Amino acid sequence: MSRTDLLRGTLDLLILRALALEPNHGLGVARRVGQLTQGAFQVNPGSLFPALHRLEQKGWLRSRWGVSATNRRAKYYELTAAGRRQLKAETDNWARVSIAIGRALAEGT
Amino acid sequence: MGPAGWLTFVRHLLRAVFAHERQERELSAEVHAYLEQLTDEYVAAGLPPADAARAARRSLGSISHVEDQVRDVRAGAWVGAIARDTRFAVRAMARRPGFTWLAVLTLGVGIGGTTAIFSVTDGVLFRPLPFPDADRLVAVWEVRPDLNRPRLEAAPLNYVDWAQRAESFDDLAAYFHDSMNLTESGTPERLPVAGVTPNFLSMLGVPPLLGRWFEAPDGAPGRVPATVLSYGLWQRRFGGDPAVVGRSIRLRDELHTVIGVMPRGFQFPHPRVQAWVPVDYVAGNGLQSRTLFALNVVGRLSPGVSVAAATTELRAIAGALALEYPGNRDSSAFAVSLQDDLAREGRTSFLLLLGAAGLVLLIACANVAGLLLTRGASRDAEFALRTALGASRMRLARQLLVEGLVLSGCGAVVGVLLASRLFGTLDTLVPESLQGTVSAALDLRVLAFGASAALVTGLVFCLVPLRHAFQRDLRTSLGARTMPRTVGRRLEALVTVEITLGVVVLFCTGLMLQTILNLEAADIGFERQGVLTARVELSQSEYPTPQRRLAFQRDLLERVEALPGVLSAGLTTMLPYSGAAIGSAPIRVEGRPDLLDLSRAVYLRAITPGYLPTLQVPVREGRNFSDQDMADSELVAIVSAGVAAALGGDLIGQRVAFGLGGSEWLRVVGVAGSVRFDGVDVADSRGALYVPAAQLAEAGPGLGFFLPRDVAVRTTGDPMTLAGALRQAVWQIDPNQSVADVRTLDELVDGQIAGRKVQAGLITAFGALGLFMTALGVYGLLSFTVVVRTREIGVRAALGASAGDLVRLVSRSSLLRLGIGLAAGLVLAFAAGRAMRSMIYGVEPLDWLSLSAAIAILGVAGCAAALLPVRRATRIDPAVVLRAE
Repeated sequence: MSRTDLLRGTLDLLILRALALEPNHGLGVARRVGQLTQGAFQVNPGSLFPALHRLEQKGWLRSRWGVSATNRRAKYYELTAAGRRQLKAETDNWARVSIAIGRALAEGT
Repeated sequence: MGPAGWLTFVRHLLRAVFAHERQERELSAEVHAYLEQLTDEYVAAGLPPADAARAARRSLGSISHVEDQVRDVRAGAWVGAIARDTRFAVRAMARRPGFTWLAVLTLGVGIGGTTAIFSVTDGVLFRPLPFPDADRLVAVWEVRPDLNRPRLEAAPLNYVDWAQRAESFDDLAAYFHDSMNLTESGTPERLPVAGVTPNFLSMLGVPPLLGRWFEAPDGAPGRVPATVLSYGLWQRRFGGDPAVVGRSIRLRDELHTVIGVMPRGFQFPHPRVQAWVPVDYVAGNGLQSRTLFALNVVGRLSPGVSVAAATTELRAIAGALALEYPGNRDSSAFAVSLQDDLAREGRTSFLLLLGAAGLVLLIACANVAGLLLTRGASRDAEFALRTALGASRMRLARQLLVEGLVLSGCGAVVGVLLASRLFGTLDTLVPESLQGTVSAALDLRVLAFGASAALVTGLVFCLVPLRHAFQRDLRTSLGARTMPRTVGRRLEALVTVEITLGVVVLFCTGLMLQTILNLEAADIGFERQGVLTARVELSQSEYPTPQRRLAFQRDLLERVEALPGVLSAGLTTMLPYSGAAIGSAPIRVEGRPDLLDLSRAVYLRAITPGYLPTLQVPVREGRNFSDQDMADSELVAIVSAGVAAALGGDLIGQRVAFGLGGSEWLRVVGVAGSVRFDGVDVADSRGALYVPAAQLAEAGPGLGFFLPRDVAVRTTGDPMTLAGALRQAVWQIDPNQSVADVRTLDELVDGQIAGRKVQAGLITAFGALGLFMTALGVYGLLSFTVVVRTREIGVRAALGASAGDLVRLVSRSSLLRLGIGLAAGLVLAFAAGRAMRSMIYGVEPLDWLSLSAAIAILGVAGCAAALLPVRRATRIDPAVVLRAE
């Protein structure tokens, strides 16, 4: 897996996770990801929008237009059933990978 | 991705293509909404609205960049990119209409020619015959080395033995061409029919449209004759009435029960055949002979049996028969795939024409590649600029490819249109045996071929500019005004290739033109001009006796000879080239010990005394027949010179017989000039044994087939002006008599070489095109070379180079390339000549005349094309050039 693939996979996972609780719009997703990672990930729009569209095309998200808390028209994304399954699978996978990597790194020290 | 995932993906793809605008609007709205929300956030954090908006913009970056990133991940992003490239290519083409027309027409002609030839070749050589399991169908031929023929129709009794003994075949059937008068519902008409064995139709496996196939008792002696009608005859004469099945119709004065109608499009063995009548040789019907080679045999191999295995078995059977029957000595047989057999006349010529068309297409490609290259060089600046602005090489390559494909696509459209104009002409190329079964037409396969030709040519002629684009150095392109060395070398290589191909195409043209001239001048043994011909088949019931027929014929000849403008008239069994030559058998000479060592077969032809003079076939020795050669006088014969020579000469006064027991002994009274019965280009054609029509009945009881039916009339003026009078003469004697095939003898001969003429015409067209394109290409490329070297030439001129020096400078490498091209062409021409061996006539495959002509013409054209640009080079004014710097 190349570096960009790794990053992209991580971003996708974080977006799915950010939408797990409730539907949200683009800026909301970016803020939620920031919250979830305690500020470690700042998602800029140049990565966010392509990722949202890609996930929608894969059938993991669907979108509709709605009105935001500040009374602005905005495009809201929400998880589909497939998206939830994907989130579950990716989360399990991530857990396995991070444990493995963590062990590998721990042994090195 | 699961099926649901695919569905979503396809939905998005469709949306990208068909709801593009809406998708774009939504994207823009989404990004703007993000911007507004961000602004709101900043305002909520306490910034003044104007500052908030600015901060939001700064944080977002470039809106169009964000949108672009989304576009890139969209399903079908490539569709949009290619659409953009295509629009760009079309705009670029529209900006240079001259270049575009030249390129599109060049490609159109190349693709059109290849596609047109492919459409016929495909039908003849590649597409399976229209029968179920056609790959199991074979033709079976008899071989008689003693008759000097590689393949012969089978003798009926040999066919019967093959059919009964061979186990390689599911079924072995046979047919022969015949014609019968139809005297039923309307005017009497002579129908071409096929006599077939009862298993013939079921063996081919095409079920009848109505009624049934022939079955075993059909065609046996004593049975009520049956017939199956063709779709065309059923529609034309019986109005498509289904009740025709079961009816009796009068064919050759016998009532035949119609038992079936074949579907439209079934036209085996020949499209002219209108009806099929059964002849059961196994049950003892038809010609029961081992020495008259009369049957075309076709069979269906048992599943899993190869053609080679069938041939091995046939050889073994023929070997056994040769021991059982002395007349079969040395006889053998072989099987060959039916498709190959039907196409054997055409195979080489089709492949060669396809090759010639392909060469022209290659020349066209080289030309367009050159055009693109010269244009590419002038576009260096554009590409360099775009590279500097961040376009990747892949991006530029994609654009070049799209441009190439758009060009070749337009070329293909022009080409397919051109090809469809040619289809009518091309049908004459289809060998006689496949006519009707195969026809040049626009169909999916042909379109697919045209499309792939366009794709391949597009890729081919893009390659050179593409490599060039990849190797360019940014700085030199932006700064320099001279052409890079690599472009020059590639252009010169293209010139070499064009000249090489040009030599080959012109050489083939030369061979074909000479072939046609030789065929036109071939000594066919008679004078083809000024003779009217027609076929008058007398009906058996109204003219049952030889006396009745003779009376009719004498009456007809008298009336015709009395017509103004008629020099002479005669009758014969069958005129040369009036159809496939049939009716040949070995000739025997009385008293020769080697009775059965038959050196040659001859055609038996019953003629009237006026026939040989009418065709101007000379009587070399002895005498012509006269009115004194009557039924009650001695049986006489005339042999053709080739036969006389083969039998050792000096035949006059000796007695000969036709076939084994086929005829009485006939006294040879004359030797006539040889006629090429087997074809205009067959110098060693089988010869003829002529007998007087008046003595035919006495010469042999089984010779009814040889009744004269063809009339030949020599006239002073245009023969066709007498066509009406000839018909009237027949109808004055008998108004119910059919008169068919009224045409000139010249047309009959022409029909023999029509296919070759079309071939020659096409090759000549390809040759002319190839020459023109090559000259154009050479001219264009050299002009370009001079243009890009203008500065260098100017500087040299300023430094004192003479006009001669400049000419040498510019032309040295062009002439070298010309020379290399001509030499390479010479070598390839030798190979092409060998490949053409079976198509040419009267000219050597390595004909020096064609070769030197090809080289001379291309050399001159090449030099001329080089001269104009060179002249321009010598006129360059150094002052002007240097001032422009």
